[in-house]
Amino acid sequence: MDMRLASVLILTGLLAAPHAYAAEFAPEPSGNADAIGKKRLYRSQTSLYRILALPRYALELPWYPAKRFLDFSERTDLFARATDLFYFNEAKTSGWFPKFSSGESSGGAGLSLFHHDLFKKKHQANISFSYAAEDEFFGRAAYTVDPTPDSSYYLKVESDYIRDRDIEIYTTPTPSGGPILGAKTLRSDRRSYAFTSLRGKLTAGKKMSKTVRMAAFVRGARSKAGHGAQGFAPVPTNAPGFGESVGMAGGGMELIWDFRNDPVRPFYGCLVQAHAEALGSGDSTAAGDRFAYVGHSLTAEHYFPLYDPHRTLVFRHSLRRVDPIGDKRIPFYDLPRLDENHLLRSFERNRFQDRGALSFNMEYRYPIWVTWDAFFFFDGGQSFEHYSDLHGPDFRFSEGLGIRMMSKDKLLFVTQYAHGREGGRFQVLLGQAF
Amino acid sequence: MKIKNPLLPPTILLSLCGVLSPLYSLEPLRPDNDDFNIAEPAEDEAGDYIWSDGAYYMAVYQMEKLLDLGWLLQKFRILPKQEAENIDSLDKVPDSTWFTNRHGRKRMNPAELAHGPLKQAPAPGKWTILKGKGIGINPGFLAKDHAGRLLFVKFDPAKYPGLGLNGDLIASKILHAAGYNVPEYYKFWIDPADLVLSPNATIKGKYKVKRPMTQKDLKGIIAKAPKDERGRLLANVSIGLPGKPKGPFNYLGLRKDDPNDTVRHENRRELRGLRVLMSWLNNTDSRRGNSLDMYVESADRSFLRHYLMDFSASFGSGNIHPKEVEEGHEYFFDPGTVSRSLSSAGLWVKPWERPPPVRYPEVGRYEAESFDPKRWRGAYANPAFEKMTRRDAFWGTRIVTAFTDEDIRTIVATGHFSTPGAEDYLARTLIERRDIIGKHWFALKQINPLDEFRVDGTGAQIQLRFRDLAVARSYAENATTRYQYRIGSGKNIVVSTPQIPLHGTLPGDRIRIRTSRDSGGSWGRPISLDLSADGEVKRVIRH
Repeated sequence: MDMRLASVLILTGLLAAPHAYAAEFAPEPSGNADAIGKKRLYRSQTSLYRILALPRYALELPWYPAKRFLDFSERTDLFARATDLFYFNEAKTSGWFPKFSSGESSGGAGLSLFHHDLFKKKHQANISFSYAAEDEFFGRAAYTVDPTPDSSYYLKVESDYIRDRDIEIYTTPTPSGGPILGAKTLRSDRRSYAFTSLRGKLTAGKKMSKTVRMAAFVRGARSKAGHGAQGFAPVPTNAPGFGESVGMAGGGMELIWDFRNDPVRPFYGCLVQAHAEALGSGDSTAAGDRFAYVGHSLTAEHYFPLYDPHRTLVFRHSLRRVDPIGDKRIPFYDLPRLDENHLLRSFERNRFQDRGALSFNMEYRYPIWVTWDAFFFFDGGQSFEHYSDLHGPDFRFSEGLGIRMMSKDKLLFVTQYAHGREGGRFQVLLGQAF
Repeated sequence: MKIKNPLLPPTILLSLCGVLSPLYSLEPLRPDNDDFNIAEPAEDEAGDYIWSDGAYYMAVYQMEKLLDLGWLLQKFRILPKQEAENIDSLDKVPDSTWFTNRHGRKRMNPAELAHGPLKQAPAPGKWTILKGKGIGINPGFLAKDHAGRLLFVKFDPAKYPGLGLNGDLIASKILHAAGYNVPEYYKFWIDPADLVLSPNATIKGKYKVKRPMTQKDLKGIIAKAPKDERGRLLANVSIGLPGKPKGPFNYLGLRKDDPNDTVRHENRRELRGLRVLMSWLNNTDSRRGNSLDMYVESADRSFLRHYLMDFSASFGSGNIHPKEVEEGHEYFFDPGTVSRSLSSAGLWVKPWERPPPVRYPEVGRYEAESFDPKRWRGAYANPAFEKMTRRDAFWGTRIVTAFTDEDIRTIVATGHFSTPGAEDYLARTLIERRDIIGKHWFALKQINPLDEFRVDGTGAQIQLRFRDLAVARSYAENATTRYQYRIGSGKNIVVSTPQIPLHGTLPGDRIRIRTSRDSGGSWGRPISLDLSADGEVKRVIRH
């Protein structure tokens, strides 16, 4: 490229401009308009811009089949036809949905059946089950009668069946033979056990006021823990409840005090949930163990609007605790947990387990779209055997960020990334989280 | 490839700029010639599909722009903005099959404004229902009155009578006065006993499958309609347009089977400038599906006429309920706003997040407090709106501000309001939003808002007179306004009145005027004029 070419281009530019102006009073025929004798009145500027725009047509190719599909879907109401496949009636109160799950080593699939208006009284029944590779099975049946304008009483009957041949646990045996759980465990202490459990719970409650609910419940479970199959070290055989079929039954009370402005997307208010229960096994197991314990939990969520009503600071505190009754023992799988599913979000499933679990969470939530909120969070927590074990160095922390996506009446899913001393974890939660 | 000559890139750009200089293609206000006889085009149903239309403009089109070198070069101000093409030498839009200059060129009287596009109201009496309404979210039907005219009948929700109806009644008259082709809309009280179901009537039922329409269908439609104490239905009736419907026009590209269609639609000023009008009316549903091409046949020629239609999402109406707070401020899904909100960690509080309450259900969520004319948005991106330049906005603002307070009140009075104060509230809000638009787009940082140039007098008294629209519409102080002009290569001269002596001006001398609002402290963008040999203004160039 030299000055001669530059000069030619400059001259071209300079020559083009007056020509453009001159052309306007000399209408010229153009394109298809010429075919009908129409004289072009305007001088099009688009030629160069259309050439420059040519790369964008690269997207037209993949878009074309998508457009055809969307048009076909809209014309034939394909979406309605497809969703209707999941309902058994016109009112869409009963139907079924497939369930899918994915874990670190396996994926699963299942089915959920529901009826939300049994006897035309809004009674709800749900049955679901899922099966995953590695011989994992989960089944649940529930029947719920919610409070209505005519009745403040509510009832819930639930039953779960779990069969999993590899549940993680982090523990190491003590020299005396007993297992160590809780905050002292290392990531390398990962072990696994097989677990089968059938559980049932009947809750009967009353809506005492607009914000307060109180309920009593009875529940029972028959569970068995045995050797896992994944290749991790086994759970110490002297862990309470290991290798035995244990039947437990008991009851308790629960209280819910909810004065948040909105249960799906609260901006202010508070939710307090308290629960206490006592469970015991009727007879000694073959190993001579007798099991009985009391458990209680207290969870409080506080929502504070910051400088704007829709910017919310959330504090959550949770304490869960089980204590043996007398010299009885507690099955190790009934101990409270602290992990990615229990709001210590950067730690693996079942990472910490002990007689008590204390956690604090702080979230800052702010809206980014109509029904989307982004959030930053900070979690702290410790599992412990005695309250005297609670101290700073054994606390574990997570921090991270995420997005909550909601519809008008429910939380659809949360996607979040958490980071802590044992690395980072990315999670997508469907309809869970607080 | 290594570019050895550093002069090359700017040289190429200079060359492009030479080609891309603003163009003024017509003599002043000569009608367009886009009504030549053409063969009957096929009906285009593409615009009926809102899913693909929405997905394309919200997602695909936005990604395509990133691959459009012209768009990128304009975005980074390397190339000048591509100006509208169908403009005359005075930077105005000639009459065409798309647009007819009305109130913006010659003031319409109150009776004309109130009458708008109306020709003949539907005939009362028995109406025969031909078809149930298959698309859209308001229930309705297609009927025929005893005069044989097609009537498109739709109903607002019983909870919000008048919400969508007022949009159609009032916005159609404003847009008609502005110059657009719109249907006739009427408020009509229907006695259900006058509705007769044709034996051949059809409706789209479950899964949009067409089937015979039954009395049960009709009862279902009537049950949802707002009624008065006598049981009459408050209906929104539009009259079938003259000609054969040929489907909606796209706001992007050309209609291939219309040889008269030679200007890409996104480059039509009346479609670009429509953004200003729609922002005023808060019509968030200006999309392809709400337009229609009609094939008009007469003895000597047949051609397509282009209509805007369905204004029920105007003002505060979200069609079946008041608008949501974000409507008019964000696209349905707006990646730009989402990204900004996300990255600001919530520190950016969107001005529309805390709206005033809906005062009048008949008006819906319509207010001026959070209105920003520059960042106003419809439901999803409209390519013509996106390409609006300052000159296009000036053109639209000139029309919007041509409506006086009395004009607005006259048109608003033709709506349906049952709540005391609702009519006044709508009129006041329209007036406030009009003024916000005027102050924004007539500001000197946008454009020099001088207009209506004319040469008066003879001999030594010959003068160029013009109108400063910002001063004329009370958006700027007359006392501190100054005009600096230069004729040809002469000196800059400052005057305080909108008139320039032309004595001694040579044919071909270009007149350049700049305006100041602070007594000459700072000067805004210039405007240039060319005079013809016979002393007429033949070209206006807004820089």
